[in-house]
Amino acid sequence: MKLIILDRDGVINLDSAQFIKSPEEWKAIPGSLEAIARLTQEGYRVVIATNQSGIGRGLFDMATLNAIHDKMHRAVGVAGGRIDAVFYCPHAADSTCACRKPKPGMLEEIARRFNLSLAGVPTVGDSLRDLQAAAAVGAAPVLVKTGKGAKTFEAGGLPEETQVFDDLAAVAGSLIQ
Amino acid sequence: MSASLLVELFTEELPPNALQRLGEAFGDGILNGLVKARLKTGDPRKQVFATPRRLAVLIPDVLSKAGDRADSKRMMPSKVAFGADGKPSAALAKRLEKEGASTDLIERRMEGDAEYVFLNQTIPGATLAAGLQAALEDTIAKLPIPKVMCYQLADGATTVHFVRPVHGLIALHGETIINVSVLGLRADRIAHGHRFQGVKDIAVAAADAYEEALAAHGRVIASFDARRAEVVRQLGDQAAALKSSLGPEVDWAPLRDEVTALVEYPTIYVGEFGAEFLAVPQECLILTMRRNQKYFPLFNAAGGLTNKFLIVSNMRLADPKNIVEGNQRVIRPRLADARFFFETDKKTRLEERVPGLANIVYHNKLGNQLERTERVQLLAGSIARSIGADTALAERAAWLAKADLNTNMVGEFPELQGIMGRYYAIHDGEPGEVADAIEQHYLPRHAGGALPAGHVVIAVALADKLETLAGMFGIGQQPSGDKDPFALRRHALGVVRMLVENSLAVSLHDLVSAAFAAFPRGMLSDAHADLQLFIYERLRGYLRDAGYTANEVESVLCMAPTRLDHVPGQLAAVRAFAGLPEAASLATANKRVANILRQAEAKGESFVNAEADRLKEPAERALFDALRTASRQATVLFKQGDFTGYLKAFAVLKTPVDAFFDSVMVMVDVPELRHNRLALLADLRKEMNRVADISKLAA
Repeated sequence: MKLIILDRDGVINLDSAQFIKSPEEWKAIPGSLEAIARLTQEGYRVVIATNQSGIGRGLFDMATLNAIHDKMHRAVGVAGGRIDAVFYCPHAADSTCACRKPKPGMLEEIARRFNLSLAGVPTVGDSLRDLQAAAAVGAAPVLVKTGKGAKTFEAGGLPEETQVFDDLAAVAGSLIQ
Repeated sequence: MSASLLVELFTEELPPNALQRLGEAFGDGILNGLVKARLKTGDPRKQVFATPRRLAVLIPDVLSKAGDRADSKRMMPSKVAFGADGKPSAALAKRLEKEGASTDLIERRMEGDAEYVFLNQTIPGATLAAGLQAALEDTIAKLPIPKVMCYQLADGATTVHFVRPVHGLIALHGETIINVSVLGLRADRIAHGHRFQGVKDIAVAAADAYEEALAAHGRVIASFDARRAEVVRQLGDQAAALKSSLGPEVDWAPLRDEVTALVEYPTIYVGEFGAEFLAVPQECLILTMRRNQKYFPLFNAAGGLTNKFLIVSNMRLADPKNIVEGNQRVIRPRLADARFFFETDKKTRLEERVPGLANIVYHNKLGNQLERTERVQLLAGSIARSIGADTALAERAAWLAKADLNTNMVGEFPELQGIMGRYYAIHDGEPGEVADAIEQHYLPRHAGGALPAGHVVIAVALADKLETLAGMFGIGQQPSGDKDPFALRRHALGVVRMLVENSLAVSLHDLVSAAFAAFPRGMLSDAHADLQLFIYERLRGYLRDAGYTANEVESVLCMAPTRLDHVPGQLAAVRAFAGLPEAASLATANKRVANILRQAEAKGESFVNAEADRLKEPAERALFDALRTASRQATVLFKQGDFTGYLKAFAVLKTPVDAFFDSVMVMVDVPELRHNRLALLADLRKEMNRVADISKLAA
């Protein structure tokens, strides 16, 4: 089974320093929906792992997060793709949970649920902690320059063998050839 | 004696919308009744009169008495009618007594295998009075009355049910009054003129003089068509005198018919309203004038509304000052309302109205208008991307497209949905494409109506229609029979026309998938295949209307083409191919091949790729080589989109195909040979039928 793990904000949709607090604020990055559709049609299972500390901070509630994800699922569906699962960490940055990236909890949970090893599984993110979490479980870290990605790239210190692309569409292009 | 017959019902004001229909039904009913009673000679001609206060019909060549008729009626088998001794039986005697006839009128005649007894009688023809009485009663009972009134006659006891109270009945045969009575009235020759301006009682001398008498003394133009022509003539004269126009005829034709049904003696006056109201969008003013006031707005040479309008009045006065002033007085508050709505609506931006769409129910199973708007927005964005339109503009337009439903103006005039949205969007400073899309996403409004222009607009219009179709099909609301309450046929035809006429390079299959995906999971059942079939059905009708034959359309549509933009090219190719001398033979061969393959498959034969070294007969080798050459050439043309060239490239196969069927037996006993030959035929079909199934062209 081919699996790809994506971060959400800054990879699929435009990021915002004010958090994405409602479905209206969720806007797809041009080309990302089609990229997911291409991956789906190539047989990839597309799974999302995303930090949503907005919940822990009380900026929005679970119903809202579900509504945002419903919009995302439908937008991807309309483009012809499918997201198999969304894993999220609802805890605030100061909590001691095991799931908030850069900790590998969410990725380990994905490995357990899908019953496979994450070795070499492309794990796409726009911030350093996405890549660190990927490296921690032996997945293949992939940086996109959308969202915070450009700054992350300039700051350097990326895990070894991190691949860098302009955006998710380029990632999909290189995986599918 | 043969003469013209006139029948008139004089009534109180009839419902204008039903007038023409009532007039025709009245005339048809009387005429049919007379024909049935054999009182009418010559062609079944008639002239119908219909005014707000009368329904009448003039029928030429009506007899005062129908001719007698010889009738031969079968009574019973001779075996029953006569005993063994040849004497009439009791049964016959009883039957004759019932008919009031005697034995000298009977006849014994063979019919089929048995001999029967017939009764020969002369049936006297009906008098006109009797025939007309029956025809009138029957006609009145069957009139298509939209809403029946009931009222009491002068005796205070008898109740009459009819469309409006009736006050007079004329039945004239030539110069003679025919003694009939209906609805509590007895026939006479007295016609009543115009309510205010005509002679009250006009004695009509003869049936043929009716129209003339009413026109001369009654100030009534009795014929609907003549009155309509008079309305049009006067409208034209007045507009020309003011150097203005009435706008496109299709816009004012319904109003013209309506006013024709409201007046007996049309006269047209010019009214005027304050020019300051012209600042309100002219669609609002035109609508309120035409619909609420029944005025004809006037336009300048550039098509812009002027502040003058035409009033159709029932009164012809030397000094119409009061009429004109009265009309000007009543239009003013209407226009002031429109201006108030417009000014008030402009104070709220369209985007602020979008959340309020959550309060408008779209469908109880499909949520509210806001949820629908979200779905349309998703779809519009996706369609915009696939047809190369600006995604952000399409999404913006889709987001605002239904916002005007929450405005005062659209609340008052629902017909202005979209039109007002455009005005408000422009006022809000939205981009031009967004404003256009808000107005035009409703297009096409009817089967042959104008299509939206521009890719952003098309994306929104397609999204709107596909969302409606997917939603309704997904909850099992497909149209059935005549019932199509959500106009799904029109929407599907709109989708077809936009894809075909704008040559949009998108797959119908993907569009339909996307439309279903826009709904939350579990809301819809999967009706993808049903919807696609439904759209193909519309495409079939559309292509048939465009003049393609059933066979041509079928040959292309049975391939379930996903790219509708290719269909016209494919059909042109099929037509060009069908014109070739080789076509008929190749089509028949294709049909034969299809049958052979189907039967072989049914028997469980398997066959793939014909192999050259297994070809035995010269004819099969010749076909194999010819097919390879032709398809190599055709593939290049197919990839270039030259479907005509592609199909024509196969014309050379006629000779080898004919030779193959003449000399090669396909279903031979040797399995390798049989499979190879089947494979060769399968290749032929596969290669040749990429554009259309040629076998469908076979007669």
